[in-house]
Amino acid sequence: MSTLEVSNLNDGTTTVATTFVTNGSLKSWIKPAADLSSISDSFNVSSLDDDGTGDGGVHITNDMSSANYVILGLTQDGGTTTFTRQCDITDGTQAAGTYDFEVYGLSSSQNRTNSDSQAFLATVGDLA
Amino acid sequence: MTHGHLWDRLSEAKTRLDPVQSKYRVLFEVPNEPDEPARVLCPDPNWMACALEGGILPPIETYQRDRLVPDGEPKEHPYAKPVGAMTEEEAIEYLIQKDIDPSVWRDYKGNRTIMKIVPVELIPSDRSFRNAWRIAQ
Repeated sequence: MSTLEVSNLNDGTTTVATTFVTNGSLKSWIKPAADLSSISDSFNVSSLDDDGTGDGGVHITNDMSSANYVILGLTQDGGTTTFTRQCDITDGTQAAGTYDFEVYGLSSSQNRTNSDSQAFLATVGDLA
Repeated sequence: MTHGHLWDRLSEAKTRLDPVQSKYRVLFEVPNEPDEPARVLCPDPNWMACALEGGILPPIETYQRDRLVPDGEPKEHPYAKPVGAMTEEEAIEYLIQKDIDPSVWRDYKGNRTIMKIVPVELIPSDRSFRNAWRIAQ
């Protein structure tokens, strides 16, 4: 493997530090199967927990520097127009090397109910 | 230091290694959450490729020591010298120690079987009653 050692990048008019790019990049991402039975693709992830219906956990290979990082989470809408699906991070589970998430649907006639729906997750922040 | 940072090695490996879907899953229950269903741990295919290749992942002991490091303090595992190639079975044992709480695989003294390594085919595909799954005793 060859290595480029550069401190700054210049496009002809503007110079930025290479850390400007690396600090802003995603540090991990995962696309699990909707039923959490497998992982379609990922980066910097060691494993996925299936904790129940619409209830999962992600373990990171190279930890973040602390629990103060951002998790991005989305889910597919399932083509429905009568209720909404969402993905959230389970309270109290975010740590430097792991986090739990839940995927659920709700509507005007149905309270929040976990469902096995496709989730997309990523982390942004500083690495350990 | 010639082995670089773990994240750099993972980045390079992602471009070079084909993912390996494990033929195993780890089924476990958390002792202090007796009302929760059994959990299933699925190894990541890119991580498994790194484990089988060798020269990428740090020693498991570095993760165990890093568990004791306060949040935000420097950690050892990203900078540790990587370990050699593992078999798939060794990789699963490594992953249990890394990603499952020691209260499950080390500290539990009860009579129930609360953890099993099983072939992926033994995990039910029918998830109708997913939140009632328990490990058969």
